[in-house]
Amino acid sequence: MIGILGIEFKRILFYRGDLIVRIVSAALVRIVLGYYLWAAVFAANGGQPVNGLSFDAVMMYYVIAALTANAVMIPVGVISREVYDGGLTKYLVYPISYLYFRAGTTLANCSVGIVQLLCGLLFWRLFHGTGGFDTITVASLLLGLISILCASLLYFSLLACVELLSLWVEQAHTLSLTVVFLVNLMGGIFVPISVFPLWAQAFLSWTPFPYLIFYPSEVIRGSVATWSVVGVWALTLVWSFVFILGAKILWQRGSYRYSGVGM
Amino acid sequence: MRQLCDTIRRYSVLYAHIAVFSLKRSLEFRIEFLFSIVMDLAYAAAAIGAYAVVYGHTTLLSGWSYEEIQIFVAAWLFVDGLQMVFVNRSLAAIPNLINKGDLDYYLIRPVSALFMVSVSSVGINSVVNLMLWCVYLAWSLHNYPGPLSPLHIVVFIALLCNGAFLYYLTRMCFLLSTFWLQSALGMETLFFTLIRCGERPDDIFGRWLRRALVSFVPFALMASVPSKILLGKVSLVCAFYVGLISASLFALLVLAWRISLRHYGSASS
Repeated sequence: MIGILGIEFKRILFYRGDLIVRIVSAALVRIVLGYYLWAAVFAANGGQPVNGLSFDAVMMYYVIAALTANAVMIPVGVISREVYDGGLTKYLVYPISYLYFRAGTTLANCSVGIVQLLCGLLFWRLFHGTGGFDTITVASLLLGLISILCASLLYFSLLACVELLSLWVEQAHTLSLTVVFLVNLMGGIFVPISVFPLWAQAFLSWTPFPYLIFYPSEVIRGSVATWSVVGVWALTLVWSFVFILGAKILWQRGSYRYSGVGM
Repeated sequence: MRQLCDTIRRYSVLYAHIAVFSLKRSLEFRIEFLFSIVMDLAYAAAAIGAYAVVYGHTTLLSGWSYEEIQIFVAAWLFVDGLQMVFVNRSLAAIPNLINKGDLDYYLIRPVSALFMVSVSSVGINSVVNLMLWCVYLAWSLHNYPGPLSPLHIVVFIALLCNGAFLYYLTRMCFLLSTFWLQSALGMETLFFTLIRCGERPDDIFGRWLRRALVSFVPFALMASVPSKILLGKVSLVCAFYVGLISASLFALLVLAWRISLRHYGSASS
């Protein structure tokens, strides 16, 4: 696993310009859009809290969620592209499972994302002040980082299930983008889940999406009680187990269909 | 004048052949056809759902009512549907064409290389979704409680078609960086990140960001300003400004394309 991490770190840091543009622009635009959207909402309702959230709290959520999304949401289409181009062939002769290798690369991407999250929070604290930071503690930060690692595993296993369908159909990457769009709404990137109607929150709690971005962000923000954090981890890992099982079944059945014609 | 008509006819026939070929290719991959529809539906659900949640906590968003926002969202989906059908697939292939040297095949043909790389593939998969967005747009216009004049509606539809053209122009300008950077990944990511500003009405933004969004990064001119013209929030005269920006950006793209080609180093033998 350490070898895999090393290889992936080198690959990530090779195109440093692309990495910086990808991380900074994605987070910055999400934060700016969130800021203006909710500034308009709070201006319209006279500054009244929305579902108990003040404007500072909403902004803190958007900052954390944007940075969390960078850490959790790995680039899509990697597996489906390797199946389509034939690049999967070299992994078949590796002495480790392909899915294990991809999980390792996901961990590397998540680690880079965690570093940028910590830098982003520090930057926000220095330049914006303490507004929204009062509930963030060292404990909530550490618990949140563990939540992000669990969420990253869940996102990888969910995407793997979808992208391994490319062993049967030509262009499964469109389904990967479907997952991204669903995570944007139901994962809490566009709007926090806590401002959804109660019936929608109840429905979403039965899906894996809130455990990807919303709950890790809320854990970091310190708005989830310590024992409830364990529950969040447990549900995230249960969903991960379900999707990993699905991915393994798809891989075992699909790998016999792979022909490697791209090489 | 006659030469112009002949040129238009020649390119139209060429485009018709490209469309037929794209249709045949799409029908070979029927599952992909279905997946594309599902993807676009998920995109629309996310866009519509986000505003539905926000409007659960307010009746106005920077002066936009919920019915007006529905028109704006439908307009944006319509613009997105147009670009998905006409240019998206072609533009996605451009970085590979440049890096692998396959652009040579377009440069030696007796037609405009810019035209060929821009429309080399038609997204037949997205035609179904474009029809759905047309229905949604018609419904949102019908659902609007205020008066909408036929002239404003015609100008609105024309500006939305222009919005798709602006989308193409802006994205091409970002993609031209591949000639220099050899990797379009960063610039493509930057484009798809910034385009999210077009998914919001420009009235919610601050003054300087709004000025940028109606000028050199004209994302607000794609759906937001046309919606405002339709709803009477700004004068009909602004349509000329939108046309002016589109023409300027097109001229800039043609110039940038010619300069970029001088920097192109074919990688093929």
